Amino acid sequence: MQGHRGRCLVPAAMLAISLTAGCASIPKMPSGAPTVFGKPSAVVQKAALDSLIVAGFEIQKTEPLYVEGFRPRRVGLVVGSGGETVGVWLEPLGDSRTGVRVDTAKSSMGIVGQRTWNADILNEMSKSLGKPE
Amino acid sequence: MSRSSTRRVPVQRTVSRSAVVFLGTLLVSCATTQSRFTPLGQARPSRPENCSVAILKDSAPQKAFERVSRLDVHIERTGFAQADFESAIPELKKQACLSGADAIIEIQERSTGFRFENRAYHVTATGIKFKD
Repeated sequence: MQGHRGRCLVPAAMLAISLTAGCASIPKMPSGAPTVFGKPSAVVQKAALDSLIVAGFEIQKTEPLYVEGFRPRRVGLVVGSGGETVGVWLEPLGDSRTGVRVDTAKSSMGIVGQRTWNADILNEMSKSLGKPE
Repeated sequence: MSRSSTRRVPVQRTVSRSAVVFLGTLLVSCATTQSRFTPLGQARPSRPENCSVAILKDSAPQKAFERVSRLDVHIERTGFAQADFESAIPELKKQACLSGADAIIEIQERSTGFRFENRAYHVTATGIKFKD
């Protein structure tokens, strides 16, 4: 009985660690050149919010120059989906231009079903803001 | 002999029931729905959750109105089932009522699929309030 309990402890501990680690995905601001839209930062921030919502993210942080969203986990037939956190950083470049950087953080739990959303978010933003420079 | 045949029947039933459940899972599968509204300008008082809301998908409002909310409904399904506008209507109406809208216009639909088993359907609309 004790041996059986011991055998279950290791997988249980691994599961607990992976679940904990799975919640700790934090996007990091990319260091490369930003995507530049010819709109003020307030307009670009709203477009970023809208594009996250359209992609199925729940908004977690809304700041004038930063927006963050989390995609709820969804059970699938094979791998499921969700668990990604996307951060959108805005950089005002004068009165009518704004630089945008996007990063997708994937959690270790269910990583097989996760994807990088950066291009999707920028594409959706460009529908309302126009093509980036 | 008779004992083994009586055992086989429940086994066959179990297998066939499992197959039905599996096929049902493939067809219906798992669906999640997210919905929200964003006030446009000053927030309006909510109407009752099951209030009457006109959906003007292919027609324009006949009375003067003002836009009061942006409505978003996002449905994601795994498997082979695809969500459509009909399946989004209850949540659209609910959010319209919560935002104080009388009707829904400017309906935009988007469907995407990814990772072979995930299908997303998103509808964006505008909630309007008729002017007296």
